[in-house]
Amino acid sequence: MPLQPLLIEVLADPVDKGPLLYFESRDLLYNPRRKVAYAISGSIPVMLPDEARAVDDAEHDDLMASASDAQETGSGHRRT
Amino acid sequence: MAQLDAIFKAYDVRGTYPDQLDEQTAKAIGAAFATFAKSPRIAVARDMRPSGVALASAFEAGARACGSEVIDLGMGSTDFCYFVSGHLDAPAAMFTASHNPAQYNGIKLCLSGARPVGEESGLRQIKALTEQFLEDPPRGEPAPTSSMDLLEIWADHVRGFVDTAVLRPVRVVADTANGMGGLVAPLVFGPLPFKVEYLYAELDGTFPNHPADPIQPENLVDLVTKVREVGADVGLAFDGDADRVFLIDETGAGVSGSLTTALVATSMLKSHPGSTVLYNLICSKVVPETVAALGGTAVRTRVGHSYIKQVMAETGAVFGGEHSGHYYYRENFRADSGIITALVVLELMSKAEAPLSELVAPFRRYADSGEINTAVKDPNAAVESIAATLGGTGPALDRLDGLTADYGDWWFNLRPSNTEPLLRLNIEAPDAASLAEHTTTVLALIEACSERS
Repeated sequence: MPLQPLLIEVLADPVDKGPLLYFESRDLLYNPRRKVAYAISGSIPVMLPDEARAVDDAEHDDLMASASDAQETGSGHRRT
Repeated sequence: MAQLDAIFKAYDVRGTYPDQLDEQTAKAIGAAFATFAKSPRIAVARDMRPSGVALASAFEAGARACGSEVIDLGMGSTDFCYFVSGHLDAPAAMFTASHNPAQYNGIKLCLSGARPVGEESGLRQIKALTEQFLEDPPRGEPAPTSSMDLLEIWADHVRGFVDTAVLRPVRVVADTANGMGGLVAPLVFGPLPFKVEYLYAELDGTFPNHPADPIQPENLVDLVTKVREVGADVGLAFDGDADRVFLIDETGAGVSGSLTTALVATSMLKSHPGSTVLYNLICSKVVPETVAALGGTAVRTRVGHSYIKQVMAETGAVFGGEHSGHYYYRENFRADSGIITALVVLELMSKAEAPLSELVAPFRRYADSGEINTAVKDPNAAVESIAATLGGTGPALDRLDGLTADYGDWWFNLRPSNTEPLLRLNIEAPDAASLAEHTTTVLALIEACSERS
């Protein structure tokens, strides 16, 4: 299930506080700076650093290759 | 056997009688309070709960055995007791469990000048002393005791908040829920031109009609019905110890604590131009907007009466309001009062010769969620985790009390409960539709950032 648009607007990475890439088709949120992915269960992402998954270089390259399909989170913050 | 951990709360003592709070414990607390306050005299009042007579008397015996003369004030409201503490410049104890059911009783304590006593400002020490006095009861020669009837002096003081000459025969229904409002409201309103009809004015600590908790809508049903039935201009709902009041307009619609704060602020800023007004951070934005528009200074505070009173002392604020229905007045020794609030609103209605709904209409700008509680494993950790997740990209995030995120046209505040594994969420948005959307978002955010059990 897709994330709520308003949730996408407010989310950031809880560790480096920067924006995340939301891959709707893969049901995950990705931080390319730290190379960690947050799973989405139901329509709720698991935003707990301990439960984030490390992403290897191959998967990182794959994700970045399709980054144009992803949506950046946190636009709600920059608006104000 | 006393269960002190269970009955000493953040701001008061509260428990069921007699299993949690009995005469022996009350006597030990009296001795502890006298020892802590080190005052030659202590005033004691109580509400109408049947257990109050024995508990107050035991407390008085304990205080007297530790050398404090006791002034027994008899029955009164909590705001009356705070007034006496200020008026006599003496510490005071009020026996009440506020809006809690009949089997409860409790004690609200203050130091001279109605200075608050909370967990961080004495209650912890009083608890430790109580423990000692339970083991080793006070045995001193009892100090004298006397009784004083100060209710009329207090009623005059309350009426001093308005210009009684401008008051008109506003039609009022007051539901005092068998609580102390049944004693103090007729006393204050008696000489004034209002046409007041009372619901459940008999003092009865068994609360035979409905719980004395006006924050619950089901407890306002009788009042709303009566207001519509008799065509009243306003309905007043008091809680059990009558320190809180909730307003109902002539259509039967409730007026929230934020709207009431904004309304009272207009009056206070007219009589005290350029003053400071406090509001707690879960109040609507309409409060600071109103205060600023009237040339006042609005100061935002944490939730809770000890914070409000402290900031009031620091800033010299003339008035402060909490969304929960507590309204504080500088000229009332910075203590909160329901009846002063009711009177100020009745004065505004008299002057405007307009129904309450019209007076409040300009403040109904936003939609608010009220308090939404969510059970989480670790509320403090959840708040930290949410703060981190909203992190760096720059919404106005502040940590004055819990976490507030302000997105310009909407905001939310999350506070961990001190006593239960709960997060308390308040949201305000421009209208009902966006409120519903944002509420869904924030609840999802809470779920996203909370450890799952």
